[in-house]
Amino acid sequence: MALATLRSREIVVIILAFCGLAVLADYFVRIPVLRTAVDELKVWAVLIAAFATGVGFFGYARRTIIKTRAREPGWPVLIYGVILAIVMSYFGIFYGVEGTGYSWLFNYVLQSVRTATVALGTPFIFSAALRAFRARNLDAVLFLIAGVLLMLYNAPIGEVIWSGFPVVGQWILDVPQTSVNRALMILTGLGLAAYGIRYIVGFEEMAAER
Amino acid sequence: MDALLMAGMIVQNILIAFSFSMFLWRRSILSDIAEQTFISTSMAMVLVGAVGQIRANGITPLLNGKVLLLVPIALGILIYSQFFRKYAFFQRWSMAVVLGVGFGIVIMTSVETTILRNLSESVLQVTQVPVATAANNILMIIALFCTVSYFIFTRPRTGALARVQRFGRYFMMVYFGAVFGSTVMSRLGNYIAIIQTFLNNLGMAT
Amino acid sequence: MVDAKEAGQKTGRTKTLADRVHSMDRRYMWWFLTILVATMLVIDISIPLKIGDETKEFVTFMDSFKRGSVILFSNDNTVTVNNVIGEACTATMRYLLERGVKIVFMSLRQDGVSLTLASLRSIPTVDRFKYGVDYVQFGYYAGDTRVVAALQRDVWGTLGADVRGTACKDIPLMQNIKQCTDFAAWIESGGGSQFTFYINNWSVPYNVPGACIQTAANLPDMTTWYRNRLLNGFVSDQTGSAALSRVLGYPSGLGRILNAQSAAHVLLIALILVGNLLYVQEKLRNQRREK
Repeated sequence: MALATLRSREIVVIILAFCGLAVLADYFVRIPVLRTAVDELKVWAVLIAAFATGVGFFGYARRTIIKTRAREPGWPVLIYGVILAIVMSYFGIFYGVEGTGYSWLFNYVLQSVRTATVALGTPFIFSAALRAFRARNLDAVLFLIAGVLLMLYNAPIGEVIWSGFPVVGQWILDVPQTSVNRALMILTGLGLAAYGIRYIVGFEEMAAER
Repeated sequence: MDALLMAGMIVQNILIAFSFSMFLWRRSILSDIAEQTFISTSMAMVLVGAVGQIRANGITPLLNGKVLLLVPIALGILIYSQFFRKYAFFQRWSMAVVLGVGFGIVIMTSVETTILRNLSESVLQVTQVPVATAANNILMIIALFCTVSYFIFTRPRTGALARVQRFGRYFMMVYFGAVFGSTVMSRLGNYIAIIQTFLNNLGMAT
Repeated sequence: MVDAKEAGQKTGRTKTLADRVHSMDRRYMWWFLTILVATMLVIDISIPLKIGDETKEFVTFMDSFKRGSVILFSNDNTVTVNNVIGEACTATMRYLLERGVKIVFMSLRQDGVSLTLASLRSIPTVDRFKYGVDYVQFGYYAGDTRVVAALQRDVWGTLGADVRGTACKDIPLMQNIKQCTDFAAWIESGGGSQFTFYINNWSVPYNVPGACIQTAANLPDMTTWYRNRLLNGFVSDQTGSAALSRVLGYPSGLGRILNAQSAAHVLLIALILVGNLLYVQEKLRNQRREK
């Protein structure tokens, strides 16, 4: 019975509304007590977010244990992964990020494999350029022309080919890009403000409620 | 040469080769090892970051007398209730605090900076300025107006509004093209840098 | 895309150039790209480098800090982004420290802490500077805009303790730094929109000026905020990093990387042109066949 009461959505909405409205109120009124409370609330939110980031590790560990127990294909590689994660975490937590163990693993293992994995997406741009970037209509033509001009603006070779490319590229950035970006930011801001107010007063569902 | 440095360079090149084998050759146990290394070291970094922040933000001030921090620490621990189905709802309390504060901040910054500042900077002079500047300013005002009109969904897209919205779409295509052209540079930079690291470790590119 | 074999079987027509190109194994192109990049990294060709106005203004902004002033350096680089703008970050740190400006480091990304440490270690003159007096390293803080907003009026409460576990009250550099207005400026480095958090929460409400070092993916956003007069210059991607090193008089390791960038950009543009030429050719061919 008590658990059912604690589980109710109203408690979540009350907490959300209280926190959101307190922070909003602080922008409009200068009350020292409210100011101190809101400053404290912001620090609390940062600290709670720190706990939230640690959830990923435990979720990963749990999933690995489940897959290993079920002897899914490739399970020995998962065991290797968990051992590596534990070793790196041990060095980082007990010897600090400045320690030799964590630094070595960060610089030579994490850095190289993360960079290489993210770099895997780049060649696909080249195969897409040959097969997918078609100037089928005016929209696509404008997109491709602007893209090519910006590429020639960014790369040093652009100025070597023609001294006008940096000028044209800068014009595209300063005029059409800036005005469209401002328009999109205004619209995004309106949407965020409206969505935020809906969220604070409880009209929207939190993802965690589903 | 330092043994750790030598070992590091060898491990680096092995892992880069394993990762690249995924697209230069095919998916295999080697690319799986690289993938798992990526996931596990990333998770470890996340955990170390979280512990470090909890220590800095929570434990150290708590031990220095800030007793009130017991509340967010308790709320933070409640986030881990998601691993227990019967008590998983407790995590919503913690997320409510984080989201409530976040939305409170975002609402005001959206209005003050994102909307008002961009609007005020869009009010541009078209007289008593050089001709080129005036032309650019007129074009910017038109582009802004057309782009905003593209997102009007409450009226049917016919007549003059449809023409204005079409121009808005054209301006947006120029914008997306500019974004694409810029993104290519950063993606390539990453790709080139990792190849350079590989060659550097072999003593081939300095 | 029509598969060449399928096209041949269905219509009995011969494979066109477009069919051959589209059915080609993508790995050939990827190997070509990798070999091209590797070649440009091995051979040395000097391509002139342009120094943008925004980079010059970034340096002018750094020159405006008085000796002894304290700035916040938010190193939000990830390891992938650090490959692109790491040199600019190191050059900025070195220039500021050598000019007597004090720096408080923190990060909104987990990678940023270790990357800051690596950057500091790579500065040849770093031993001249005292930790806790000339610079201090705080850790990673989750929460993005919440962290920056919390720093507005409660720096000690938000940062807590540095990476060595020393509380703010015990760090000499932090004695007079209680709120964001006690900083002379902020500098943000990263690959996302984190600099907008500082613009939203520090620059607009409290007039704390700032600048950023970002990848080219954020060049459109940086240009817009620069035109809105809320950024005092910026450094964009490897071109900007190389330009910054040149302006500050530091050695740059980006010469050959920029050559490889140029070659890869030209290849990409050539592929877009070839792809579109093949498309037009195929379209005209189909139109003739229909007639």
